Amino acid sequence: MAETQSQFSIQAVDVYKTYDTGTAKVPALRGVSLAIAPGEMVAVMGPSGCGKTTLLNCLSGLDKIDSGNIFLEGKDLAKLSDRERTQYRALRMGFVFQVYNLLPVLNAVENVELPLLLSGIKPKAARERALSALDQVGLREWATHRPAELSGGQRQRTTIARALVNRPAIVWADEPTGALDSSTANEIMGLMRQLNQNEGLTIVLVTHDANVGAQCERLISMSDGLITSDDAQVVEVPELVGAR
Amino acid sequence: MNEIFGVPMNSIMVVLLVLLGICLLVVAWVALRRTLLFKMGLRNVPRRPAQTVLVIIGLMLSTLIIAAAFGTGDTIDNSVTSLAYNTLGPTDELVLYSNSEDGEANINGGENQTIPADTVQRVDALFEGTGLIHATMPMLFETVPVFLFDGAAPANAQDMIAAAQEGRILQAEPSSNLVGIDPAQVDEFGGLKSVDGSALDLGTLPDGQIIISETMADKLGAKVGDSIGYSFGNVPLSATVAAIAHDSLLSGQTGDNSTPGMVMPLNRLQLITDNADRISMVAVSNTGTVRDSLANVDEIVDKLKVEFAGDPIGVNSIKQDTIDSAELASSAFTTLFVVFGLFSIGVGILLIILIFSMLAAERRSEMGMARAVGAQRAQLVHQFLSEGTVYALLAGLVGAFLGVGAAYLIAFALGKLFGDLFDIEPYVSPRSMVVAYCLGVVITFIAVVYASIRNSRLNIVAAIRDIPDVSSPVRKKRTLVFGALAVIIGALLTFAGLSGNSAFAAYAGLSILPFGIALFLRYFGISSRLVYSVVSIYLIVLWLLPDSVSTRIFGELNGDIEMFFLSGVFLVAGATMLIVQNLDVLLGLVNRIGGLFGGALPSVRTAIAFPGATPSRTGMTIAMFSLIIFSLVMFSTINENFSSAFLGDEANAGWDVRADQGGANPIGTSADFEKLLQERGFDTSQISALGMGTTGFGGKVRREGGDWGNIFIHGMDEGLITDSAIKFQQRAEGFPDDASVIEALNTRDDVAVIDSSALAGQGGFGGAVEDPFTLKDPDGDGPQKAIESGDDDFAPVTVDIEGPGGKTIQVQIIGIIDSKISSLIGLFAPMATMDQVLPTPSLTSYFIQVNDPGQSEAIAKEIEQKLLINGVQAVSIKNELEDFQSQARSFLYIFQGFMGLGLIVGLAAIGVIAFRAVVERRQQIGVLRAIGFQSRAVSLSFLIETGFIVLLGCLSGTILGLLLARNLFAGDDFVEGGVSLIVPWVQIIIILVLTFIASLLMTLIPARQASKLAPAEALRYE
Repeated sequence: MAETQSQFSIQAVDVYKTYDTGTAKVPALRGVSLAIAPGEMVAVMGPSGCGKTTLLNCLSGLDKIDSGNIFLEGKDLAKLSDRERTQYRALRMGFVFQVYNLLPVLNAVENVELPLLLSGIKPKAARERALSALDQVGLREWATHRPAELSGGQRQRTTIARALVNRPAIVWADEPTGALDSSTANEIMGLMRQLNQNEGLTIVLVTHDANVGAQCERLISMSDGLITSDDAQVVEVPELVGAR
Repeated sequence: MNEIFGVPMNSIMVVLLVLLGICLLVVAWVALRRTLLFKMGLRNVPRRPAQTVLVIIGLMLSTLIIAAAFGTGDTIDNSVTSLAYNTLGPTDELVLYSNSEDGEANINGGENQTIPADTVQRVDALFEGTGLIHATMPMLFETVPVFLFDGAAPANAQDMIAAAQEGRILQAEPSSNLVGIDPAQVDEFGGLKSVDGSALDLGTLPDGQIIISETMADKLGAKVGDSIGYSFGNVPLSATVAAIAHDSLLSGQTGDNSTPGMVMPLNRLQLITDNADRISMVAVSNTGTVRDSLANVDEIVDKLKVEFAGDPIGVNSIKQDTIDSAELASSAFTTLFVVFGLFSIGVGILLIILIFSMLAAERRSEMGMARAVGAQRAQLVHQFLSEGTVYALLAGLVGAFLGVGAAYLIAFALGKLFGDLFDIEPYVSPRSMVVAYCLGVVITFIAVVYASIRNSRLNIVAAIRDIPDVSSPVRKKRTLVFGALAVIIGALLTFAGLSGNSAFAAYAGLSILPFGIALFLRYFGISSRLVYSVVSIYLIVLWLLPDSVSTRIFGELNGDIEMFFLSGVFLVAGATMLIVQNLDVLLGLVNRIGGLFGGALPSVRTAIAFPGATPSRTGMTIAMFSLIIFSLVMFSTINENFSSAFLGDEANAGWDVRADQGGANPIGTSADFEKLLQERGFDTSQISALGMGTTGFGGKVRREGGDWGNIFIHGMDEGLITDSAIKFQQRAEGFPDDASVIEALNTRDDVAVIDSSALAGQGGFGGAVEDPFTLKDPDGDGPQKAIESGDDDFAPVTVDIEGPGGKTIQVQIIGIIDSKISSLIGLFAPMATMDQVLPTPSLTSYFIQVNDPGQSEAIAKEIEQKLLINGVQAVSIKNELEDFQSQARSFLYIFQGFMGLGLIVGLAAIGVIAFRAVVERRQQIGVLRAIGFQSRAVSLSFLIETGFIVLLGCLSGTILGLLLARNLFAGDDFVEGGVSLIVPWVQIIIILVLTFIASLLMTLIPARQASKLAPAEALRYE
């Protein structure tokens, strides 16, 4: 696995990504560079179609980039195979999505323990940790309920429990409050902030909601595939061989 | 083929065309009045070409199966009728010896008897000027053994025996037809033609020459100029082959290829057989062409019967009878194939419903939107109907044509099996194609209507957001109405079945009834799992009740082969409901033993969880596999157990070798037979017991006041009665043991015994070939008065026996031969009794017990060689039974293969579901990949899911099939006394493994598709 010592949790250098619809080429990221330190809670904001979800997908290794470099904890994503990237996600990342994305056929605790089982944790230990994660988000009593039997907020908390059950380094959240009412949204953001502060998790979330953005310590704004503002304290992106 | 299930095919075709017309009118109405909906439906067809192809493949299978079943019937019909027309040519009726009161003559009974030669003049005079017939011809028939020698044929018996011993007999046909016909009349009957089509002149055939049939030439390997020998009255004769004639009645071929023929001028045969002024029959040719001469057959037959009333002469309407038999056989074949195909058709219907449920699921959001903007439910149905009809019309065409292909394949297999008897000529009539097409389209249309109505009931909001429907807590009156309907229908059927002794109606009613009660209970809020689990268990128990218990509860009920299908449907429905309602128990089990799966646990868990989320889809798929596997397991188990039961140690009744002999070279009694063997140098010390039996092929039997049924009738000499190891499964009152029955057969002339196929409820496999004789009560009081299988004793049954020559006698049936003794088939009476109706038996058989049964085959060969001149054919009885069973088994394999077509339906279902699942779970696959599922784990999950569903279906089908088979064999329905069930594990495992592998292969492509989904792309999909 390619690895360099890095002070950053996440590093992107001149990242380009274009979608080819067959009839047209749509540039989604046009030379994005950024660096996020461990333990930061960053919000990426911008209007619909500005490329923020694409950025999150590319940074997390869910999507491939056309050019540029992405380093996660010093590892060059481009040099990882699909299998290694997947394994890295299972071990070091958590995901929270707008539409909860729980498996409807599994109950809450089964959903939460899935990443643990994928990491090879024994079923019994996995169950204990999953219940503890659910406890952390206040859902232990709802452990055996299926997603359809949970409210929107409960489902998102289950997703958060699933995201942190593996004690990841980075949690990616795409519109985590997009489908929630404002009070539930605040509740979820409070929980994420708490996890960021208490557990030292690096959280990158994508949102178009200014209130959500305001609750993060750092705000990155995007427009037309470019970062238009970044209120980072000091970010120095190192020059890299092969970077555009 | 003109009839099936007793309904004329023309009527079926008209009804189906009307139904098809109604379907098309409905769609035409939609096209005209709801044009937009019609267009929306139609435009969906080319939307996903791969899916459309899969849908058409799925929908065509029912039509394919129906077309194949009808095509097979047509092939049998065509083969038998072609054989009849080709063999009989212009011959329509035969006038021959008969004593029958009704003036009918039996060709088997009449061939060995002669009538005055002037009969032909009487027939000519009778029809003179009527225009009804165009020619008559006198014929003399004899059954003789024929031999092809290496070199010239010997002139006397001793030389012939010596030639046999020296191995100079190249080939022998112990039973052949030697026919003499009037050369002057031959041309009126189509003329004798050589194999190359040139005319043969019988009138100029020199002395010492003979014309042989093509079949005879094939069997002997004889060619023109060869010297052949034959014998009559135990006198050896020889002739040179002058020509090889096309197979026909004129060249001695009477029907199938089993008995070869040869021909000479009538007067020459009369001289050889010392039959001056005697003939066997007069062939009558009606006015008209070969295939169009039966319009006046009744009038002609009636006139002949009147003319010969009072004389020992009768009429045989041979062409009409053969055509009727062809029709009956083809109808029976079609019925069998349709009944066995019902499993596949049932599975096909499930597939159609499944496919349309899938299509609806795919378009759920669109349908929700349509409903939201004002579309009525009926309009959604119309849209689906338009689309479904296009699929049905296309699939029907493909299915009908592929069905013809399947029919040709079956014909090929049948040809391999029965080719020695007659040529199988594949043929599918346009009418059968139309019927299969219409039936396929109508079945599809009805299934589409049902699925569309089901699909149209959706929660608009849930559909638009594409989230699961939440079941409404509001009680629906519809539940009550359907519940009441099911209860009423179930109760009526049960009542009708119990009062009319119909197992089909009673069991169908008893199976439908609990569904009605279940719906009531559901209306009142009882949990679905509880209600349907109880119904499931009830159904399984009901259908697996041992015969003795069900008889005690419901009384004697009559059922036929259709019960096989009905039992499968309800057993599988019960087992499937039980599985689906309790799938989460299995999931719990997986959780408990999770550690065993190691790294595959996440894949296993998701694979088992998904089927539980779509219970109806999962249930239908499990039911499909269960039903097909049930039918295959049940069929192969029955097949195996029958084979084993009929090939058991008792099958040959203690006899090792049987020597059969036709009438032309009579040998005489058992003692004469033994003496002749000694004279010919056979070491008779090898024989430990000897018995003689006679057989009449054209025998009939009836209970007093009942209808005649065809049966083999046999006479038994004392040796055969005494030395046979006969066991009786049932005896008449007054006969406490087997010895008392044997004693009566030896001392009385008014008693007989019969094989167990005559019992009530044992109406023969398929039952449709021709109602066989059964001991049912002719008064129609129901089966209670008949001898039932399992009754320990019964009141002696008086029957009339009619011999092939038409004479009748009356005897009492006092014993039913144990069904394990499969070598004794028919009705057996003491020789003196049977001689009255069988003065010239069709066959005389000598039964031989040998000291060393291991030498049976060698001894049979030696006897045949020594008695070749007498036309004796000897066989090892054990070998003969094995050959028969092997042929029967091969025949059943054809059925099994046909039933296996249903597996293709199941596999198509697996493919449809897997492809659909990839689309449906796109986002979830994205999440799984995001949280760390390797791509291999995704495809593994799909494969495990398929494997899990198929395994459940296969397991339930196998268990149910074996349990039902065990029930049948543990009881006394099939084999008296019951036998321990033999399970053909190898066959079953092969079926299961092949099914399993094929299912996984069907899932491989969608599983790979799923694993290759890019996570970000999958997550973006909404």
